[in-house]
Amino acid sequence: MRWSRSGYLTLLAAALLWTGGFFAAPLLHGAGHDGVAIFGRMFYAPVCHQDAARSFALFGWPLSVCHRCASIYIVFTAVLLAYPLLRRRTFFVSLPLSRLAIFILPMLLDYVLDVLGVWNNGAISRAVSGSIAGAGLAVFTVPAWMEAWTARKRHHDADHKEVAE
Amino acid sequence: MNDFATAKPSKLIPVLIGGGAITAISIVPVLNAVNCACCAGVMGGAVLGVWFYKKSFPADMPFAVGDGVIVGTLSGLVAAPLVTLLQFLMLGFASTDFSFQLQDEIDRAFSQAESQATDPAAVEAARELVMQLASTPFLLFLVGLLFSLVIFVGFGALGGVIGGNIFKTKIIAPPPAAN
Repeated sequence: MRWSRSGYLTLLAAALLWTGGFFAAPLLHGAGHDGVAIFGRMFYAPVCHQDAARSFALFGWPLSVCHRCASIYIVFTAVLLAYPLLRRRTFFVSLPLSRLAIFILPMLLDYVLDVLGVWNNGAISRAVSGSIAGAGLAVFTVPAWMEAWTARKRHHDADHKEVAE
Repeated sequence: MNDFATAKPSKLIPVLIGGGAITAISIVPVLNAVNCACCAGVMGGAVLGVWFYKKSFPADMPFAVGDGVIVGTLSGLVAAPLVTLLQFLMLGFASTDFSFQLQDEIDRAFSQAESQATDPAAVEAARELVMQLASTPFLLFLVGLLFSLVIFVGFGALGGVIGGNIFKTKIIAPPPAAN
């Protein structure tokens, strides 16, 4: 498994900023900074419906994204945090697309069956199916990201070597 | 210079296709709801751009995940200003009664927020903030562009990673030599 400390830290910083960002709005509301909190919510508006009734709450205020999105991002970040410990495990070899689909399927079923009236999804089903999708996305993308990052570094080092010669 | 890097096909057309797809998905009403699923439309558009880029590769040239990341990121970079501009035009930015239409849009959004039993004080604070922004359309455009750039470039890159991982050239390990 390819590993780059700088590649890992870059991805981790982005994931932590993104995940921390949607926890910021309720904390800011709690601190009385409503204007800044709403501004923060506006940032996440293009990526989520932000229905307060379908969102986890912190100190009585909804997060900036819904149950499903929050679960995807939190679990993605959690898997990324655990990546240095897990990267030598056999399952952490870049996941084939067909297996990624298996991770996404529960989330799709949870949504589609609810729309069709066959199943009533709730906070738990949305969170669990979102978590499964988030884990699958992390297992699929993190090794690929490392592969791209280490290849970029190899090209960069090779170019510098040629210039030096 | 690395020969492989210089010999690679041009990224221009795949990036424009990816950026165009992201823009279309993000602008067309109803279709843009796809982006409510963690920006699936942005990632999908980036994957489409990567697919076109992979198609332009000669059969003997390996396609790497990094190629996908570059095309995905650039697709997001192309789409961000396009989407922001088109959203502004759709809001009536070019018309003389822009402020009236914008006021109408904002009122509708905040009525929805109030109906969801959000704290009235917070809703009022937000309304004031948005109205301050709306009074200077250029500032509103810049804020919208900044938000779009972060989101579209980030999710475009993620779509590029996914696309690159799907379409990369699989290196098959040679069979172990028989003793």
